[in-house]
Amino acid sequence: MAETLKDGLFEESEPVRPEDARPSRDGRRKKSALSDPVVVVLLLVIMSIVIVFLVGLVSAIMTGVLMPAAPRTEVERTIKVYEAEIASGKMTPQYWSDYILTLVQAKQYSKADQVAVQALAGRKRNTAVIWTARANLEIARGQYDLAVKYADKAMAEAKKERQGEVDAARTKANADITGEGESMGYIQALLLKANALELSGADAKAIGIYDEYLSENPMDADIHTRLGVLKADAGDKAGARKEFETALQFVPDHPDALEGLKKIGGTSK
Amino acid sequence: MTERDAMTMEENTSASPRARRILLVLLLILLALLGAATAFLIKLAQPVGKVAVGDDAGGISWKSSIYGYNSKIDGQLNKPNDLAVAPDGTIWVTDQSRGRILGFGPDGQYRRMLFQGPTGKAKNAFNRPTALAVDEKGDIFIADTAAGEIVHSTPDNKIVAKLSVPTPLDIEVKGDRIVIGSVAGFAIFTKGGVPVKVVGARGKGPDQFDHVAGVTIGDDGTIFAVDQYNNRLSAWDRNGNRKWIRNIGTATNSLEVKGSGAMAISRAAAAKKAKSKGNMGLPARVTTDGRGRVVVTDPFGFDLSVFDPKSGDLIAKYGQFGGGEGQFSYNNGIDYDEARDMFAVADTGNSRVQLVTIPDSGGSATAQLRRDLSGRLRALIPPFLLLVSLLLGLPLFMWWRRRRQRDDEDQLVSQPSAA
Repeated sequence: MAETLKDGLFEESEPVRPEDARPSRDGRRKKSALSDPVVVVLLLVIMSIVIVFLVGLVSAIMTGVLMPAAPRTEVERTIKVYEAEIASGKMTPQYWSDYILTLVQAKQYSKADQVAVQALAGRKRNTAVIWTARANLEIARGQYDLAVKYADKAMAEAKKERQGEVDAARTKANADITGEGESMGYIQALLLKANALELSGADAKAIGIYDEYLSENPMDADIHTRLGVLKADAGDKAGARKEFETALQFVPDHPDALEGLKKIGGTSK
Repeated sequence: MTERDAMTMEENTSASPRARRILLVLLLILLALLGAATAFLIKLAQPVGKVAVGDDAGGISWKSSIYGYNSKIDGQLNKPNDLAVAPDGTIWVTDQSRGRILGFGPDGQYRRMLFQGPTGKAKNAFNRPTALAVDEKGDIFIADTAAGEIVHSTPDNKIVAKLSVPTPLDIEVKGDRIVIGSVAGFAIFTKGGVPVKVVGARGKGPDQFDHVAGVTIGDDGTIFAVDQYNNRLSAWDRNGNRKWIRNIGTATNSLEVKGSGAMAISRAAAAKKAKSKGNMGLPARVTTDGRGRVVVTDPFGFDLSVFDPKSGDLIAKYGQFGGGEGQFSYNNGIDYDEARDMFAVADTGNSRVQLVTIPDSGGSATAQLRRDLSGRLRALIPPFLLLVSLLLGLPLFMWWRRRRQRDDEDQLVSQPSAA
């Protein structure tokens, strides 16, 4: 009779026929999935893939590829520097504006929107640049009507700020200060509004704004060129030629004016 | 068929087809999930911001930029004007407004900072570190223009020697030669500090100089000197005998202001004009590439000009003005990393160092591989090595397992006959 080992003692058992024998260490029948080499290979492959992925992830973090300590581009630097400035409470309206514009450049529109709201929260004065940045954001998003609305808001705020500066200057020193001319903030918002109107297809309104601007600032070659392009698109070739030629009077090799003139069949003088 | 084969066949046919199916499905799901996760992480690892390519970069290929060592303002570089690449790949950069020198790896990772002083911890201990050079051992040589001295320091901040030199503008160290550029010419020393020759006097004549802002030594020992205000490039042998001299642009010390009411043109148009004539605006620093070509920075042309080392003929210009990655604004210092076939450029106006390549710089395939592995690919080295180990280990493991099973089978089959 065959003997099998049980709990360290031999005991008698039925003889094992070769056709019934199974490979095992303890004599028990083994039908577990782990006896299947294909299953073992699949398990090992799965474990290996997971381990390699995790090692890759840790390696990317340790080598600074993911979550780098220092900025890698100008945009990243600007964003990180402004985040540090916000944390230390040193933000000015111009910094807020620059931060929003950088986020727009980085196409982080949601974050730019949040930052704009944060910048305006509780602030009643000197908000023109922030509204202008917000208008820029809406142009980038394609929300031109909102951009026009925010540009109008920026212009109104810029006018108030300008009046405040003039009043302060009068009380301080010169009672004769008239405060003629608009501030840079107003002009920037005005041109942004014109740009938004252009992009929304309201060319006639945009032309009106550019004409108004050029009546105060006749030597701006870039705006003459922009006006020339709009007039050419509207079919006013004579008007367009006049604008391009005026631009070239101030900047003789203005590339966009030269190209615009060439497109309408003109040549520079 | 042997008894063993029969047992194996029976085992296989009665094994877990269900388990196999489950694991296969699990594997496919895992691959899909990890694939999506990997795509997301790759996108996350991309630097945010515009990279100039093609004409926008003027033929430059941007690899990476170094802005500082952390996200705080005092951790950022502030108008760095010179740099030098050490044999171990460390890029030493002058942060002159803060009187310090910062060391970064070719992967852009911060390594360490240098100050002057016996304890090595004095703040702003360099007066105004203007120029840097590194020798074959990795020791750093700092030209401190305002202090009028050259400081020889080890990488771990131990001062080896100091040398008083009037208004040192640039320095290069190679082999047994040290070359120092100054206002009226340049001086050649042996490594031990013994003067070999002082070349030049201040002026506009052929043997005169007006601000030698850039010096370098080629692999064959030829010394190249950039005469900034005379807008000239010249080559000299190791003992200070001239080989050739070339005008490379309009001398800025000869310019006259003519007329009034001049029309304004854009900066980009001015640079384009300068490029079209092959003129350099204001040549500054100089280095040589893997082919021995002489590469000179032009802060006013916002580009790099490449010259033939034998004749001084202009070969090509690369670069464009701008703030995007791959563009320059008042680029100044330059050095060539031979091990990685790339240039480190101190992009002063943009307050950063850029690692860039230009065509035909003569780098070997190994150098290009090292360069690629110093970029984002460096994160893949450990998992790649692990994957190779697993791929080699898996068949070994399966072979060992099979062998153990056969040993078990042999043991059990022989037991009844033993009984």
